[in-house]
Amino acid sequence: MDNNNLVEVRNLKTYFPIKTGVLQRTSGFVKAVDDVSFTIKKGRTLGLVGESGCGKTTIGRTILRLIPHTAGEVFIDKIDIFSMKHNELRKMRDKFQIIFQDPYSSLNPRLPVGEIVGEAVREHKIEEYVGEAVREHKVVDKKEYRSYIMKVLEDCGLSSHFVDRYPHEFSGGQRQRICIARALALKPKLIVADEPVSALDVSIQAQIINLLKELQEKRDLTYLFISHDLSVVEYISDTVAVMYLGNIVEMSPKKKLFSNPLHPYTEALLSAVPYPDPAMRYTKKRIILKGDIPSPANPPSGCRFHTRCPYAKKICSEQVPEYREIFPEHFCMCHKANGVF
Amino acid sequence: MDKKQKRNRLREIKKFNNKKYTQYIKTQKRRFIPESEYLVTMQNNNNLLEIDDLKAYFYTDIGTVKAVDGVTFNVPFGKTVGIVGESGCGKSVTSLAIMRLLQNPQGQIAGGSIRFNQLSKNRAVNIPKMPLSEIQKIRGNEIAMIFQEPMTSLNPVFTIGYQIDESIRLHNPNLKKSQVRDRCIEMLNLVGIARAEGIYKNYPHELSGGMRQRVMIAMALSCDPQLIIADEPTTALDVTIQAQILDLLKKLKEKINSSIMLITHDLGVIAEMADYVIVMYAGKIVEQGTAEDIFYNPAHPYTVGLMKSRPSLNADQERLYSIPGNVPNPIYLPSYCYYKNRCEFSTDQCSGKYPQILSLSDTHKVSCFNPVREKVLIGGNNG
Repeated sequence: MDNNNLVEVRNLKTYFPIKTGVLQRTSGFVKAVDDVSFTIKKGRTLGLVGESGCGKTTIGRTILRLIPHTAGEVFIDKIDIFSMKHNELRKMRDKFQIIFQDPYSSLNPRLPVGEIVGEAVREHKIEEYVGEAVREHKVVDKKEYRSYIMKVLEDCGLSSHFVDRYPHEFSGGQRQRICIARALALKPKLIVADEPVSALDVSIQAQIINLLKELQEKRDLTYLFISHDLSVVEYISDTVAVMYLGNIVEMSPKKKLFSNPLHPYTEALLSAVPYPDPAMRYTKKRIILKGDIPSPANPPSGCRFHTRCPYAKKICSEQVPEYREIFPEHFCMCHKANGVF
Repeated sequence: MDKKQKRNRLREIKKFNNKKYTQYIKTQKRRFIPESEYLVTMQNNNNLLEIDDLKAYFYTDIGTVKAVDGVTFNVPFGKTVGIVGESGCGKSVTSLAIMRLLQNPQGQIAGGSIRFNQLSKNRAVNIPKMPLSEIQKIRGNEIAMIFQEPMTSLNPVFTIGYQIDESIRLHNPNLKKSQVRDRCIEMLNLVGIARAEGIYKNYPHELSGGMRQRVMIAMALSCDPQLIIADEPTTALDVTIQAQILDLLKKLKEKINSSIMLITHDLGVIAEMADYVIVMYAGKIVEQGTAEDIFYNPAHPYTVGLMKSRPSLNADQERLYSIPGNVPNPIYLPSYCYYKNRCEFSTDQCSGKYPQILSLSDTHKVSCFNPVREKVLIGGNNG
C-alpha cells in the first residue's frame, strides 16, 4: 500500500435488497455501487461527479460505514474500516467526518449551535476521561471546551457569539458553515463533502468553496467531494472520477479529464454544461443524450452506458468493458477508448 | 418598556394588515367589473407583455415584505426574457403576480400594471384589474406556467393523462373526449416522451424527474400559449437532462412561436436561452439589457460579482471571487442602494437616495451611481 494514500477503496460493492410481497422476500438488488476502486492521496481532493441515482452519495456513506457494504475493502489511514468492531469504529469516527447536502435538514433545530458543533467533541472527550485510547489533540477541558468551540466557529467564518443561537436564526450559507464547523471540530483527516454547495445560492456557493479550500491548506485535509456540478468539481478537485450507474467510468487528474475526456459519457456531461457566454449558443457543439438513466435494479447488459451512447456498437451490449489505465493516471471503462473498435 | 414597545409595534402591524386584508377581500367580492376598467392600450404593439412599476407586497405578522418593488420590463413577441437573481430576490413572485397566483390575502399586487396583449380577442388587458373569471380564461390558455419542482407540482392521485386533459377540456369545451385524448398524446409526443400512450395512463410517481418535467411542459403547452413562464424549469434536474429540456424549449418556442419568460439563478442557462436579461436584487431590477450587454459589458457591481463568483469550466482560477455579506432583510430594507453594503465600488453618493435607472445604451439600463465601465472577462470565454 502506498504510504501517501489516505483512502484506499478496493472493489467496493453496495447492494440494496428489493423486498416484495407480504413476507418481504428479497427479489433482487439495486446495485448502487458495483465494483469501484480508487485511492485518495493525503491532502488532496477527489471529486466524484455523476447524475442523480448513480451512486455517488452511496459511495461516500459506505466508506464511512454509515451504510452496510456488500463486498470489498476500504482502508482509511491504513485501517481496515469494515473489519472494525462497532465500539472501535465509534472511537475512530473523529478521523473522518461528513458534511451533508442540505444544511436546512441536517442541523438539529432544538440544539444551540455550540451544542451542535460541540456534541461530538464532548462525546469523544468523555471517552478520553474513561481513559481509553489517548488522543492528545482531543484533550479539551471543561473551561477550554467553550473557547475551543468558539475558535472552530471563527475558523469557519462565523462569529464566536453564535454559540448560543439556534439553527433557525441563520441563513443557508451560515448553516452550511455550521455543518463544516461540526465536521472540523474533531480535527478529522478525511472529510466526505456530500454536495455541500448545491442547496446554496451562487454568491454563497463561492464563499463556501473558498472556505473549504482555505481549510484544506491550513489543516492538510483530504476531501472526497461529491457533486453533480462539473464546474464546482473542476474548481476544487485534484482528481476527478465520473460515475455512471454504480461504476466509475473515468478517473484522471482534472486537467486531463477536462481537456481530453475519453469516455463518451464524460464528453456528453461536459458538453451539457451551459456556459455563461451568449456567443457559445451558436458555436458550441453539444451532445444531447437520449432518454434517462436506466434503473440500477436492472442495469443494461455489457457496457451500462450503451443504451444512451452515441458511439455504441454491437460489442458494447455484449461485453463489459475493462477498467483500464489508458494514459498514465487516466483510467477509463469503454470499448472505444480501449481501442476495441 | 422594551417589551411593551415591541408588543405595540406588532399590534400596529396587525391592525394595518387587517385593513389591507379587508380592503382586498372587498375588491374580490365585486361581482360586475365593467370591461372599461381593465381595457388598456399597449405602449408598443410589438410587446406581448408590458410590466410597469409592478409592486407585489406580502403583509406578514412581522412587517411588510416588499418582494417586488417597482419592476418595469417588457416581453416582446417571440423572444425569450431571462430573469436572474438569488433566492428571495422576487423573481418567482413577479411570475406569480402575472398569473395572479399570489397567496392571498397576505400577498397582494400593491401597485403598477401588467398589460397583456390578448391577440385572440384583439385587445390589451391590465391583469391586476381583471375579474377572476376573466383571468381564468387567460391562465393556462394564453399564459402558461412551468413550475419549479416537477416532483411536487403534479397531483399524485390523478393520472398524467387526466391532468393534461383537464386544461385542454377547460379551454376548449367544444372538443370531444377522444379529440382531447388525441391532443394530449400529441403533446406528450411533442415533448419527446417515447411511449406516450403508456405514459397517458401512468401516475406521476412512476416517472423520473426528467419525464415529469416534460409532462409539466406538455401541460403548459397544451393550449398553445402565447407566453410561457418557466420558473426554474431545470433546477431540480441533472445536466444531461437539463440540456435535453432546454433544447426542447428552444425547439418548441420556434414551433408555436411564443415568448418565454425564463426564471433561473443559473447564468449559464440564461446565456444559452435568453435574448434579453433582467438581473434582480432584493425586489428591484438592478440591470437589464440584451444577453450580449449583460454578459460582455456587465455594468452593475452585483452582476459582475455574480459572474465572477461562478466557477466555470476550463478556467484557471486561483481563488473564487465571492460577494461579501448577505442579502439585506426584506422587511427592513434601507433607503439607500440595497447593494451598498456588499459593494466594493460604493461611494458617499451611495448612502443617499436609491439610484435612478441609468440608460447606458438603447437596450442597456442599470440602476447604479457608478456602473462598472471596464470589460469583465468571464472565465468561460476561453473554453
